[in-house]
Amino acid sequence: MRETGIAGTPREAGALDVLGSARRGRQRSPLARFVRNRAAGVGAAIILLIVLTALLAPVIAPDDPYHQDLAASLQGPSAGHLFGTDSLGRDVLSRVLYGGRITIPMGVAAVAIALILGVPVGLFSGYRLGWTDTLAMRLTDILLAFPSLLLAMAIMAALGVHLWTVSVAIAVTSIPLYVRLVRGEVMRLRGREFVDAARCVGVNDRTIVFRHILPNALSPIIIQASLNAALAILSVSALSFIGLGAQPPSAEWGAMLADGRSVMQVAWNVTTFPGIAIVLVVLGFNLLGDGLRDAYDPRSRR
Amino acid sequence: METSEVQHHPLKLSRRTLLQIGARAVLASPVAALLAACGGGSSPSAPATTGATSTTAATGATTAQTPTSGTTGAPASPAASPSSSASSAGASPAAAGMVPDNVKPGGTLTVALGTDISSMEPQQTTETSSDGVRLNLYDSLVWIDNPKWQVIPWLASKWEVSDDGKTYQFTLTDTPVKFHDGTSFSADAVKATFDRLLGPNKSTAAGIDFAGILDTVTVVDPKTVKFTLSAPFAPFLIRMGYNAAAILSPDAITKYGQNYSDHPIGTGPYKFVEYRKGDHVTFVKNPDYWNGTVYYDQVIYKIVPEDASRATLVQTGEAQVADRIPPALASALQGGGNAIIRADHTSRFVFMEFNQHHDLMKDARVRQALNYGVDKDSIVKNIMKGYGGVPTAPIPTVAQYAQAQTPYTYDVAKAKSLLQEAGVKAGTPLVIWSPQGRYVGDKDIATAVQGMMNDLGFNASVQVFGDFPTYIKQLDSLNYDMAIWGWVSPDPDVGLNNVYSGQFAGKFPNWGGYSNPTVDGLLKQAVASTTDAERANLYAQAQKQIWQDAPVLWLDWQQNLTGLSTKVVNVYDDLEEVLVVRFSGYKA
Amino acid sequence: MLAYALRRIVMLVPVLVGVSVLVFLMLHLTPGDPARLVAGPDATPTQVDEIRHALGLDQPLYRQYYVYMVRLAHGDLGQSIVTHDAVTDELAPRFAATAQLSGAAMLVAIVVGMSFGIISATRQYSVVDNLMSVLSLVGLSTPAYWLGLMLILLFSLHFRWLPAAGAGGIQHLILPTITLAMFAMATVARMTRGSMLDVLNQEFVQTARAKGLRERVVIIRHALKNALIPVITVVGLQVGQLLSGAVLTETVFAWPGIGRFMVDSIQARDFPIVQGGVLLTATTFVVVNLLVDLLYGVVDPRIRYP
Repeated sequence: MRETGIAGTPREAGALDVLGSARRGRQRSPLARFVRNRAAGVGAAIILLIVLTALLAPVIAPDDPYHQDLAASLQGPSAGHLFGTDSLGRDVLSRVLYGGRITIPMGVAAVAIALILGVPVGLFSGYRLGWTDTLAMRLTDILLAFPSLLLAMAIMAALGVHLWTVSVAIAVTSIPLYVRLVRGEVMRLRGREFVDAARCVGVNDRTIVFRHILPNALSPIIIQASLNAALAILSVSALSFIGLGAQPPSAEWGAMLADGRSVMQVAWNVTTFPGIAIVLVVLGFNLLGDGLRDAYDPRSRR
Repeated sequence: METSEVQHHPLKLSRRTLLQIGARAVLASPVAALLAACGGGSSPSAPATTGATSTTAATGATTAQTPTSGTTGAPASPAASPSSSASSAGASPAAAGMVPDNVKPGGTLTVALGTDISSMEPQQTTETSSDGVRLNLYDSLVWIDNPKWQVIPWLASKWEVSDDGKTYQFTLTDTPVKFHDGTSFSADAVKATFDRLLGPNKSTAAGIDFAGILDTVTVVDPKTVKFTLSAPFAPFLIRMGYNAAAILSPDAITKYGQNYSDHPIGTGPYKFVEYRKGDHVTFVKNPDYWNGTVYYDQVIYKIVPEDASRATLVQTGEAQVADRIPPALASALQGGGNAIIRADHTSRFVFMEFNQHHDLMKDARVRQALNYGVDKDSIVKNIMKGYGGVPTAPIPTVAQYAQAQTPYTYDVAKAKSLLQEAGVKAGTPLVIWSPQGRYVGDKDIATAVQGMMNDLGFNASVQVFGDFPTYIKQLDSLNYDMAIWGWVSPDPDVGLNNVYSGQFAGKFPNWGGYSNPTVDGLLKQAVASTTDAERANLYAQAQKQIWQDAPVLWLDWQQNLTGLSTKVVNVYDDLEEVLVVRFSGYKA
Repeated sequence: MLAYALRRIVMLVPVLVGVSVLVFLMLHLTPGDPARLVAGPDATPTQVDEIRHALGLDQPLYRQYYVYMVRLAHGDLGQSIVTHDAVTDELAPRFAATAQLSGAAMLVAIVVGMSFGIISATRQYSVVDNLMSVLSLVGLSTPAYWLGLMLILLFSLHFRWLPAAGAGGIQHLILPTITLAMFAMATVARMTRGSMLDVLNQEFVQTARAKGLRERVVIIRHALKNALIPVITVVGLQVGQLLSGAVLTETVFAWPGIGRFMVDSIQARDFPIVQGGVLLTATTFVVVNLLVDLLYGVVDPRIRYP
């Protein structure tokens, strides 16, 4: 049976299964498969496109995203404002373009923080085993069982509402995922010859873990990170919904969506465009993650 | 301002004006009621007949009323949306049982509320949305028809005020009145209620209205009760009509003590059934109600925090009333169908505290400059969609004794020169706080002000608090330069004294810390004054001084937008922003 | 298996104790004083102190925790600071409401998600497969509350088919269920598809086909059974997602559940409610996942419990 947490939280099991069942017979290099993978290609293209428009926003945006024109509030799309205007008469198109500069880094930062905190714990937990492992596993069990939105709220109550605290709050709720994923990988790899060999020639634990084991465990981590970035961006918008997201006048997509929701009935454009932006970028990360997984796992390739 | 006369005295609209308004098809039910009142409406039957046309007329009114339609300066003046200014005017029932003929008893009224009820006990909190819910349960000694400042006999049938203005003797109604728990209403109940309100264990938002004013309450005989004040206090009778002065059951006070809110007992038209926090409150008809007909069998308040969902409930007929419809959504409810929008004037005025604990805001020139530097007309017109107005006095124009001042007209150049004079450097950081969903358009207004502050050369930022209790609590920290705050004050003493007097400087509700001994002195004199003219004069002086000092950034006063089913009549928001449903019923 | 189950149940205790410590620290270390909120905005410091004392909040943290745990051992979760009602009385009806909604959502997610997954897998690369893959990806990528509000506008306001908000009959359940189920449904569909494809390529399936069994029998009897494990795992994990994600759905549809209540209670600093609610949610999560683990053995007898 696969590795399951004793407290009954085999969150990694599903992810690992698809990966795990694949580690037999690989004909082509993952890179080659990735390149050939349509889903991954589409996903990467979407993300690239959105990142590019975000980077070029100052050049391509028709208007200053923070420029208010109260007299022109809640207008529908027109030649002057392709996506219409929001409740303060700001150009929705420009805000959507600039929004990528805030939302995507927030999602990526959340993943990065979770990786930085989760991966080392998973590595040592899986390598050392013993009480280190037991402790780490119980802690992740606790975090997993804790309602994640409430945990995020509490973290933000303690740290205050800023863009970075949003990322931290989201990161903390996804740390257990990485700990368990990485630990599983390490358990798989620690019996391999190259690890034994390194240990025999007296390489210290830290070097073994980071230099030898980690590179071999990277693929599933990257896949998980990509899927998790998608989830993080959705979480940003969920926090905005309960009033804990980006502060005005930020053009963060989740905040735009949350702000415009009360007037959806009369001004559909205010929520539709940032909503589409969120769906697109989340879709991009999901496709990319899928594609990476397929590339890594030839048996589930399309 | 040419409309100023109308503004201060919305009730003194001439009969002819009203008729003209009516001719333009903006005749809302309250106007009808008011007309009736003008024409000898003291008899309860008169409003009843005129009210008969109310809802249909109101429909016409709301469609015709699309607020910003052209009139110059429209948003600033109630005259521009006369139906609503007058609507609060006649809406309060002149007497018990004042319900139009075309109302039939029975049915369940479902009200969708945007915010939860803070307490079922009137002595605990004075938050207006909870007041509206509690109004079903309780009665006070008097009923205030607040736009007319008329004090109507209620649980007390008459009263006498001593010559020195310090004693009020109330004679209680002859009608036998029973509390929901079966206890009989008598002078003892009145005393028990006020003893509890002033008691040592009580310090609540409700207590603020009586603490230091009311000294003792004594029972003269079972039908007579005497209130002794520590000093003459002109607005006292008005305060006796507050929800905070609602009479509680003496038995229940003894039995439940501090947990009265969990077992609310009153003499009102509806009895409490259950309250599930954050979800709903249910009331049933009090078949033994002492004062007129009770129409609904059941009244349910549902908490529906999501604006869009709340509005939809009225449109689909799942609820008959939805409070606090965002102005931008009003147009969605105006297209005919089951629902209409009702716009009622309230005395809610909204401003930003200037934190005068910070050096920047200590300078009156800076405060004036910021008042010049915010385009309030545009805020009212575009964010509030015209459902409100720009303040022309430190208290809302609908308040008693409000005195129009020279407006701080939007003038960036003037603002900049004042700032320069005061030595404010470009790029000075400015922290603006705002609640979300508490006042009409609050978050948008804060963001708009932030943009305007940046135009003046500040480096302004906004922080929004989604949760109002947290916001109030955080205001104590004084970690802001400006913070949105609002106050309801049809009563000038409440408006001026609580918001601007040194008595509350640095704390609720005058966090900004404005304190001017001249103003404090005038306000003290005013409440102790015995004649109307004297009082008006003192308030006028105080308002002039406050206006000059610009202790806050005056933003707007608001109309309350209520989504209303076309099937019910006589639901209204009163001047105190309280949603009153106790006199309403289904159309026959 | 029984021994394994018992051992697992015992191991739940430290996890739940850990959750209780975490929620305790979380509440007491974040700013916001319940006594101050209860006392009202204009209470004097003395009165706030009195209330703090009455609530036992002036005691050292470890002492408060000890008192809480002793009471908990007696099945007493305390009283709400705000409503004074027993925490269990406050939580029970709301938990039931959330369980109803989450249960319905789970059911929809499993039935629809698995059907989609099976259809997709058996017609790999077909139009249907591609369509379903895209649909589940979009379902996975849409913010739930946005979806919910659009459903209200469409089905309640425009078509007038379904009620917009509140709890009541079965018709009240439909829109919030769809909203809440969307994410889990997409996840289950994707997992089923992947897992089925895996199994369909394996030898025993080929053998079954070679024996001349009908395709339907092959798929349901042989393939599906073997593909279930990862699907069950995902379902177990989605329970946590549903309980947590219910906050947004419950707010949009004014559903009287525990999610929205917990958010309100955190904001009101109603400590006993939050503590009780978190423990209840966490317990549900670990118990469901324990059941999921035990279910592995039922689905696949080859699995031996250590």
